Amino acid sequence: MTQPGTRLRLQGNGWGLLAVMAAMWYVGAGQSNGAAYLLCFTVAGVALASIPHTWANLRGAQLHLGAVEPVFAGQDLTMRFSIEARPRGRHSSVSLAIPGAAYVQRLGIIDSEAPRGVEASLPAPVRGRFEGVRAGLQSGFPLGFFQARRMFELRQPYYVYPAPSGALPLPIASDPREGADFGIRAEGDDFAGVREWRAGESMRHVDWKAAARGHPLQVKQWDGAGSDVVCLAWERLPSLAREERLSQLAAWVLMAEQSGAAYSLQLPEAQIAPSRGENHMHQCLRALASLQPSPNGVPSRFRKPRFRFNTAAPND
Amino acid sequence: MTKRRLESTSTVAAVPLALTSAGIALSGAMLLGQFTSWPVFLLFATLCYRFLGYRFHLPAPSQWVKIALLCAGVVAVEVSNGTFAGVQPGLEILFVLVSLKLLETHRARDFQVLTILGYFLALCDLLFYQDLSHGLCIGFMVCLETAALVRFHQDEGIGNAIRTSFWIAMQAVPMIVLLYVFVPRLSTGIRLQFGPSAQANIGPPDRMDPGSIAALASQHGSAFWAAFPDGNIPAELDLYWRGLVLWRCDGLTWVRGGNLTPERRGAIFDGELIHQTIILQPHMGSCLYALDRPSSAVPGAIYEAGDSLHSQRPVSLPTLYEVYSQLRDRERSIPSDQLRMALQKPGRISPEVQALVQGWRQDGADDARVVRSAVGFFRGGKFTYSLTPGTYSEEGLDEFLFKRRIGFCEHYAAAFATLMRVAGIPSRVVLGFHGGDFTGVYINVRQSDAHAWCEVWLKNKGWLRIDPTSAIAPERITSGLESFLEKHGASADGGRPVSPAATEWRRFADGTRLMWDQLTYQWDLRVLNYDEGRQRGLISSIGLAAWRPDQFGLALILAGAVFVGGAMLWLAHVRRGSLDPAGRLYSRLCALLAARGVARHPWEGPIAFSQRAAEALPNCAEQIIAAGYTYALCRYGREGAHVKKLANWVRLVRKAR
Repeated sequence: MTQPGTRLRLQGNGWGLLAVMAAMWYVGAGQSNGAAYLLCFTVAGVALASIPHTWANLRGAQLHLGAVEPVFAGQDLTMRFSIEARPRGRHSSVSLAIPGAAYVQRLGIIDSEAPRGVEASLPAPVRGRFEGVRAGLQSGFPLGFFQARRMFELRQPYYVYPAPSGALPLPIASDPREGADFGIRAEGDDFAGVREWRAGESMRHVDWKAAARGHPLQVKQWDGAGSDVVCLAWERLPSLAREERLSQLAAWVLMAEQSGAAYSLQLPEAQIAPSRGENHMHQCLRALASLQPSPNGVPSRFRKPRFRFNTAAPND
Repeated sequence: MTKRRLESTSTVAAVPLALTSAGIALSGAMLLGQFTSWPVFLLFATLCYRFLGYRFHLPAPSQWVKIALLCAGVVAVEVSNGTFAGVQPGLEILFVLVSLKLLETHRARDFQVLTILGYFLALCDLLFYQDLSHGLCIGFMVCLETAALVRFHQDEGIGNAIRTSFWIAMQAVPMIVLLYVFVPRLSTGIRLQFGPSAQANIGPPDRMDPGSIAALASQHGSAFWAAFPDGNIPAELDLYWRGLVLWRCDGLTWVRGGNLTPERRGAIFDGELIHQTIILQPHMGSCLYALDRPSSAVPGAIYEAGDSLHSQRPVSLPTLYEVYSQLRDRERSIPSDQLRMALQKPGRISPEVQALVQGWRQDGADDARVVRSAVGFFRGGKFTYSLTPGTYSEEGLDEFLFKRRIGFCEHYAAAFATLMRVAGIPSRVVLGFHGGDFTGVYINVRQSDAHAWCEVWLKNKGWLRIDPTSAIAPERITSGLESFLEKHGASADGGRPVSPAATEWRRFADGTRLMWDQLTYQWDLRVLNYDEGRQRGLISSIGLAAWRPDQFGLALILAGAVFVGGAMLWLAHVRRGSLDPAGRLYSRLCALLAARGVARHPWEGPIAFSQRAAEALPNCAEQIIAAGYTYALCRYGREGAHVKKLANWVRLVRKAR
């Protein structure tokens, strides 16, 4: 994260004030009205005196971004920001702004004793891997004619998966041992016993009944006929456009996961070995999201999405 | 469909809105007398709706209601004025717009616009009122608007908002003074004029009817202030302030008369020149008052026959001018049209009046004797001087001279001058002021000092001032009307004996009034009349006469930058001052390292940070680690002993590159 400075700018209504000051000056000159001059310069002096306050009010405020859950394109991203005040400081009338998404949320007072968290819900129209968000804190305190702004480039990689769509049926599963051997035993339909649950694993296959009887958390394991693997390959969809292919692949990943079959993913830039389970599904979807948009044939908005400061990066 | 409620539609809190609205309502109330009052009442009505809306959950008016209101307002302005052009219809439309804006102030931007409109309304008030009391009122309005803005952006209660706005205002004062004094004043040549102002003092009118000056004299306000820059102050008896000269006579009523040949200016006066600086309050007439009799040219003023000074346009703003007067007349010739006019007799003269004048002319008495006899007639004729003489009929002259014998100065001046004309002596009536309170710096002449006297033309003597009032009530001339009335029990309390408490109160009220007058004088002198010429004078008096306007502009911009930058530095310093010494040193260390590319993460403790920084900056690794450890000791161990060491290490880090 880079340390931003506090920038000041004249607000739209500041121009309105300038116009009114011009009118005051005009009356002062036209009517030889010293009082109108005085009014004009009083307003000008007060507006000038408010500038340092505007600047000092926001000085030292910090903005952080927590982990961002992945979503499918078209859904809303939830970004959890936390705003930290300057040590022993107090910032009035702070707003959170994400210029790219035309998002402004008024937060009010930020106090060093009570840091604030904000959940921003932002539309994610474009799939991809994003490096972070450019967001800012702004405040018009005390008079609103000038605005202080601190922009932060918040580095927090997150993924927007391709929206699952496409009507093609899931490819038929085949035994990988007949073809290429991946050397990995996939899970099947037959119950093969339990093993201990490991932290980070999905709760879906936890043997809750056993847990209710007082056993430690255990995961059911399956085995058997399901040594067949669904091979989801980029090459199988030559008739579709690039982004449509990705959508179809995403839909297949979900369908395969749903069916309980093991599946593998083969992309031009990445190969993912057959497996199943939630982690595997996310790995596949991340791979789909990270696929380089082709340099030509993809609308420019894919390359420069509106509110991210970094566009989709190659898979790492 | 449920209607949207006001309080749920609006994100603008009630308190800042109330403050802004109070300012706007005040400016509307001040303008009530200036134009048809319905737009102001429309404003009040929308205000009521807005705030009752908060209380009783009224619906927010729909777009259609607002459009209908706007159309109705515009049509009403057209109907009541017959036109859209001009200041008055413009103001009315402005009020309609402000009323509608009040109804739809729901977002921060609306609120900001409303406040700017509030500032603009303050300006509209200033178009009509420039005096100190209204100026203070407008200042208060501006304070309200500003406090409303601060309250809106601070969300911390009204007390804090007032405190913050007060500090901002205090910090603004130097800049305001600089701008006010040095921003070049331009004479644009445009003259904005506005209709007759309700608050303008009514100086003596173009004619004098019985009772017209008495009406003036019962007012308390100041008519003008006169300062004597040369310190040459005439005696109180000579404080006759010449205004209008009336030539046409009709008994007790005198009128200004036609275009007469003015006197030859220049060498017609004797005696010392008395230099006066006069600040005249707006009276919507053209008269410029000066000590009897003005002998120098005032730029832009017209001299009329009878040595009266007139401005070319009605005096609608407090006006400052310099004039020289000489007390003694040396005029020996009179233009023939003046002479003719000065002998014009009233249409009907009763036999009693004829007989009276004939009596003075017996034994072929000369003009001077006749004048003396006439003064004697008034002195010995059991005349009474009163502010409330009652009304006189058409044949007022006879009634006044022979029956009621009660009158105010205008009755005496008019009657005396008329009698002179009947006697064949050229005469005229002068309207003006007499006396005034000397405050040490200037003479404050009030409306109640309004006076009328008479002038007669005597061969080889010129125009001679005769003040018949001094014959009837000499104290009126020596001590001013107010004390005269007080002594003669004609004041407002009906002549009852005055208790000591009342005297005390009176003294206090007088003192307050004097202070207020002095403030008003300063306001008029330093604010209202600080124009191009005065600015040039002030600037050359501080030795900057050679500066050009663009240099001033540059200097002002520079001053503004220094002002803003200085305040920023100060604020930054004050904020840093809130840390303890060790914290300050550590934040300096962090800033140093950040400048070299190693910024502390918010979650990093001093030791972890210093280790990371030391790896990144091997040149001064030792010093950085030592500084980090020392800070940790200061913070978490026993402090006092280590702060100096920490300072030392930080210094070493700064030196090591």
